[in-house]
Amino acid sequence: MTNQTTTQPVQSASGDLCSDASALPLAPLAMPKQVLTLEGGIARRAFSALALMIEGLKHNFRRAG
Amino acid sequence: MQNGVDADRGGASARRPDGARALALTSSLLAAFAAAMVFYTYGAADGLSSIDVIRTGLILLSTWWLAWGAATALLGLTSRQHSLPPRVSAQITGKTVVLVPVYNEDPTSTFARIAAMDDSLRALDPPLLLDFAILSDTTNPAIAEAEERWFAQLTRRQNSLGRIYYRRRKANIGRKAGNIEDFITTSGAAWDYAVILDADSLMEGKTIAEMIRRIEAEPRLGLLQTLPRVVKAKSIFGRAMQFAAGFHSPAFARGLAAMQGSSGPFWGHNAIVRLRAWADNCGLPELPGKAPFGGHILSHDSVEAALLARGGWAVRLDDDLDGSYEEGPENILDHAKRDRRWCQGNLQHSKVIGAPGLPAWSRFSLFQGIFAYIAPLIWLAFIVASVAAITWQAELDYFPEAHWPLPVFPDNHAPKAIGLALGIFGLLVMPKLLVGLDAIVTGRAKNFGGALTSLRAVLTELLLSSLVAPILLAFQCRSVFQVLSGRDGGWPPSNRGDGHLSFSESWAAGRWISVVGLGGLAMTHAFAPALTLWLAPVALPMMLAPVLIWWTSRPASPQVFTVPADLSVPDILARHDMVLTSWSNPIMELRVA
Repeated sequence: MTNQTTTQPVQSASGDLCSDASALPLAPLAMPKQVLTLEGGIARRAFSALALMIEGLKHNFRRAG
Repeated sequence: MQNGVDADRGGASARRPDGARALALTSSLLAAFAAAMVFYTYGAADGLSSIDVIRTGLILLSTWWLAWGAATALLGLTSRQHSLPPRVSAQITGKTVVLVPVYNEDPTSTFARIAAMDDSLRALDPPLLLDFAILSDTTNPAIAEAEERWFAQLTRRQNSLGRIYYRRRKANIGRKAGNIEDFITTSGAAWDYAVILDADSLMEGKTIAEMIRRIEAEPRLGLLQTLPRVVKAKSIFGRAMQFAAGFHSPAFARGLAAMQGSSGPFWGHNAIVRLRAWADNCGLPELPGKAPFGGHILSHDSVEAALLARGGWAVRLDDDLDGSYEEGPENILDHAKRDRRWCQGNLQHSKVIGAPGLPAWSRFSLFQGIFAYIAPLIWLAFIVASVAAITWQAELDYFPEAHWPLPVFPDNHAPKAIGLALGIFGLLVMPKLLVGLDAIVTGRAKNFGGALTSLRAVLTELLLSSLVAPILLAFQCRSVFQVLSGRDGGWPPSNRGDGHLSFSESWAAGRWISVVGLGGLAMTHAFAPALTLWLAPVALPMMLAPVLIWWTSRPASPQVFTVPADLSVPDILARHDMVLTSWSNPIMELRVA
């Protein structure tokens, strides 16, 4: 079925299998660090929500005035 | 049919869990408030004090936790038809690597498992040749040397150089999560999917193939978790845990599956992940501050599941997938050691639970993990508060009315207290008894030796777990106090083997629990003698802790706590045993080759 072999065994000059063949292939995949802590999340969002509420109140006061 | 998924059954990632969640949450909250109300009226009978209010709050929380577990099991028993995964028939096209992180494990047994799984995959029709990567974080030089030796043996046996890889990190930064991250950032782009295992994991080839088909069939599925069965247990404790995991866990897992929707669990192993989804979403940062709360994330699996869900990927538990195995701790001390690690990891999630953008269910899952270690403290606080309440209780006043010559006797609220205790006891045992009944009615009990044998095992396990529970509660409370006082538990390697403990080892590890149990009972008898009998079921097993730790580590008869693997050895376990035997017998190995 699916032969998934990603690298072929490497033969050395003497015919022995080189240890290189057991090395993982070089195929990097980036893993960006995720934002997990409150500083970057809820606190900032709460602050933004508060700022929006104040803006809304100001707007309403201006309209009422 | 699209992507090999039966359209009439729908993609399992599209399950609608809202009803199940609402049902479980409502019923558990109702049970908790009912218990709290009963306790409140009982406590208020002789006048309400602040300690009664505290005790009512503690009863509310602890009953909710018990009721939540019971509701999960009941959902599992009733939601079988809704949690069926899709049938798939597509050919496998993507490339898969099986990751085996190791850390000071016995390489003979671990590498024999890889040989067995590779054999099992190659025995499929048509055969499936997958890549394996052994990711070693081993720090013990002697074990590292043995790993290299056994790797050579493995590649010779499987003729797999260039398909089975071995690499060892010099510095094990980030522990297991860091080990896998190191692999992905070096080589992850070479594969589409990764089956993540533990050193003690074993999976049938057909199960791995089915997992690949299922993840290929659903392009939005980021992670598929199986329900591993515990196998190869030999001790009394190990076989009881093995039985409980095999007999009771499927119902709890099905209940969980009904509620989780696409924000399912990841238990760190025996699962398949979509590598690009994983790489994009699961790069774990170090948490600010020092260990135990800061630093590398210990219980990384729950966080990774939450991050995948945040990234819009489905995370699913398919409890119907058989052929997924792991080994468990063989004695209470190994269990407590593993639990210490989980305790620190779960409490550390208090720093992660507020992460931006997490689905509500993921936050709730993290909360459950934290609460699992807070719950023992709540029980402890309730016991202490109950003793204190009686100690500080005011003398009964039989003549509260001035100038009234006849005494006024308070109402008898003892039946309420007894009813409440029975209700809480019922929440503890009812799910297990119902699972036992369901197994007998559906015929599942046949796999556990028949109706009578499985019923006897259910009752014996209930008795044993009731005896062991106060000891585990003591270890859990100590773990929580250690974490809260800033003590890092480190990364001790897992013990694998028969797990038998000598009495002196058990005495050394458990005598402090005896002292706490004896002291607690003596103080209760001195200050609140009415509570002595109530406390005895908790205090007596604690006093006997060294004996129970030693006795439960002794070998058990194979007839006790029968599980399906005792009646019919799974193919993959037989293959593993065969490889191990051949490796200990070079002549047989030559014949196999």
